[in-house]
Amino acid sequence: MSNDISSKDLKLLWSRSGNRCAFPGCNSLLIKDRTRGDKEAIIGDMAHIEGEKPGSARYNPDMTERERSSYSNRIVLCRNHHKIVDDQPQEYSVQRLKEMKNKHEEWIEDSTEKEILNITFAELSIVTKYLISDQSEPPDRYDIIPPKDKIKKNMLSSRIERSIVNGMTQVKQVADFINKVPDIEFSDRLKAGFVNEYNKLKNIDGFMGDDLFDALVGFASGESSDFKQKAAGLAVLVYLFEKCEVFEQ
Amino acid sequence: MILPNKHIQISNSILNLGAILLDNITTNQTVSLLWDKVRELSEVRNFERFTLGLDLLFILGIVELKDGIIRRVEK
Repeated sequence: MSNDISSKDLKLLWSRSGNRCAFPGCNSLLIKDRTRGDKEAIIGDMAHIEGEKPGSARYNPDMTERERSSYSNRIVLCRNHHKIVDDQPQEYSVQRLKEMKNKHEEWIEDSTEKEILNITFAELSIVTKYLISDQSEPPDRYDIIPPKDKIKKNMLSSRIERSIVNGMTQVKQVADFINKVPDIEFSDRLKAGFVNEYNKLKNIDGFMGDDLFDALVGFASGESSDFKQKAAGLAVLVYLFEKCEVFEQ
Repeated sequence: MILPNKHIQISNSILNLGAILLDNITTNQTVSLLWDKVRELSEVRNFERFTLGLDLLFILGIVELKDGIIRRVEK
């Protein structure tokens, strides 16, 4: 398996896959937790949809190398299903693999959003623990513009708009959580953590629009595989979006 | 942090905490007595916040400490 995928596409691919195999009915978790002496193990593959080299399954000679290694030509699979789809390319055609990938990513997004109503201070406490930053604080901004205008201005799609609307249902709980944290500097450090990550993703890594939003959701949930933590991360991100701390305004 | 902002409601700001502490400095009492008096209030919540509220009052010159007794500065 080649490692030539860009770090931006890598982040996007795993974030949207929910760290799970995209094969229908499988959904196996592909990240093994770290142990005391070792870091996490990745037990899945970033399979090529149109093959990696001449002779490989579904190889397309008209593709550029960049296209071949990019996010759009990759699908996250466990090793068993990676072998199956490569050994049976007639059954698992390019179109079918792309459909599988899209369906899987939609399922991950739906599962996360179903959990949005179930998040409690416990989940918010878990995700925010890793989000606070000790770096320099961005200056306070006192302006607030309506979310509708921000969605348009940042070129976010209706899919993201739906995520934001779902997240809005828990903005009050996030606000209550932030006000109840005893640490007097908590909200400033949380904001700083997000703004610094936002600026890094946007200005250094080159993320835009929906990709930027998805990458921030991944960051907000600590790239967790747990749907409840992903939902909590989404709620925190939408709270900061509503307060006009991240995204252009 | 001292003032309310987009994330900190006025009821959770140090400014509000200072007002609450000032409200509770009614007679001559020690700092420990003041702490015992306000420790259960939801706005105070912990000793760290209590000390920050007191710091604010001292900085503004609203209270003073004399012979172990904390009291309002008379204007």
